[in-house]
Amino acid sequence: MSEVIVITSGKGGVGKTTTTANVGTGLAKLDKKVVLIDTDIGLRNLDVVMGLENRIVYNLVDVVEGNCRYKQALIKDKTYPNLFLLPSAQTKDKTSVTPEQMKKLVEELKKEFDYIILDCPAGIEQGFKNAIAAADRALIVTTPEVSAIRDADRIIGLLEANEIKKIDLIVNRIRMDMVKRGEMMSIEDVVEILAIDLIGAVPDDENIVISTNQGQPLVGDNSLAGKAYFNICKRILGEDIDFLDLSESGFFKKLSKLFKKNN
Amino acid sequence: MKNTVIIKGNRYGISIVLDKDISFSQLLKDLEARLEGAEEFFDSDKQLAVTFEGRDLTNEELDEILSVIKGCSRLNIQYVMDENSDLETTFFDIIQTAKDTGDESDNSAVMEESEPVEVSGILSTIHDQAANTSGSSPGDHTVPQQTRADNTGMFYKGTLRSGQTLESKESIVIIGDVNPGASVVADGNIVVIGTLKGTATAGNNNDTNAFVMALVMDPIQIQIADVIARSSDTKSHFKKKTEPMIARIQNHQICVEPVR
Repeated sequence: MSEVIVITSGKGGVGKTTTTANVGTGLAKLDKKVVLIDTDIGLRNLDVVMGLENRIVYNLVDVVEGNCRYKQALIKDKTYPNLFLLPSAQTKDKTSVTPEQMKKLVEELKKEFDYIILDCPAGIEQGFKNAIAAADRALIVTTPEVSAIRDADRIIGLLEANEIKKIDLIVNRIRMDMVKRGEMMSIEDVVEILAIDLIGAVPDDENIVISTNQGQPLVGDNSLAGKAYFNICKRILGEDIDFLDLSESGFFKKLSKLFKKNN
Repeated sequence: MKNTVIIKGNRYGISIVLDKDISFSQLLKDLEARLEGAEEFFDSDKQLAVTFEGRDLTNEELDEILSVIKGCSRLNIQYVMDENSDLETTFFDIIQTAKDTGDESDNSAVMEESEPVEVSGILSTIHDQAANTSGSSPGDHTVPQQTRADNTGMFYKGTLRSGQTLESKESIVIIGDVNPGASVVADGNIVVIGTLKGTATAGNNNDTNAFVMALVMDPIQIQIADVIARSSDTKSHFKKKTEPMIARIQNHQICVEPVR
């Protein structure tokens, strides 16, 4: 029974593509057959984050226009043979694909894959409409900032209007040290405003920058962000896992402990 | 031919002037004829108050007349007035107590926005209404309103999200939150049983008596009639203990105070 998940946010730059890469890779690690689809036409970057940009021959627009079969466009992941990427086009724009074409494509893919994850572009126009057309459920990514939350709220309203009932929240780039000082909204604050279920909170982690630049998703690693993403994947599969204690800020805490010992 | 039945409209309903000399059965026939002739003037399904003049009627006669009216017209008689009381004033009083937003009727001859003429206070009217659940339309901007004909206010159950607008020509009660970026516009009052963080406009028809009330009052902007107030620029980061607040106009300014 395949599940089609769209990862959206409204606001740009909050971590949709990173989340798509990590959640997809995590589900593949847990032995599921996964395909990631980059629906941001014209500004593709899921391939870069996955480290597969030099393997692209055909893309999503080629498939919907009938220039190739979808199997020819799918790229197998470097590490996991059960993980595939359908990249977007870099030289077209969002009007090249319609919601109906997306639905048709996803129906085909459902026959072969357990999870189809759609990386949605920022905004609420054609790109967004294309991405949500075939989705069963949505993961909203937001950072704990008022502007991101405002946009996320708008998106939730639009999703509910488009009959997508299962909507879960990922709070990304949370900094517990700032939350403790009262300078950043807490996870609870965000959940209270958006009023949807929280499926995971990912801390702001330097390792993410390294991982995206190298094209190597860090899900399942020992880093805090890696653990957080892996827990999100397990929750998607239905496991009930306690939320990580994110106040372990890792590097700085170890450093201060080191100084305390030396005094 | 002398008119034995004359039907007059006033701002709040209709008066039926009955000839006092003819026989009752003749009167009924004339009434029927008059109503059938005048059907295009009367809007269907409007609730009305009616008063009878010119002739004393027993209760049975009154019943018969009412059933004739019901039978051959689409008038929905809510209330029958005693002809001895001062008519205009009494109509007006009844309407005033039945709604909270004041006199909305206009002077056009017959039946436009006839108000429900029920002699019940505002609060009991609101309590008697079942909460309506209203979903957002696919086109996203305005949330469709579901009102029953005898409401004086509209209910919305759920959270109003950023980008959504809820509008009404009456009052609105929201059972849920109003998120920042959402807006509520009412000709009457606005009551939010939840957190108001968006924009609220009450008294949209220039009614300076309208109010906005919320359990947690934290709006971006409030407008009552033509007075607009905005939230302060400094936002405190820690949560204050809040209580239900009500905003209304005093001295041409919007004042917010706790609900006692």
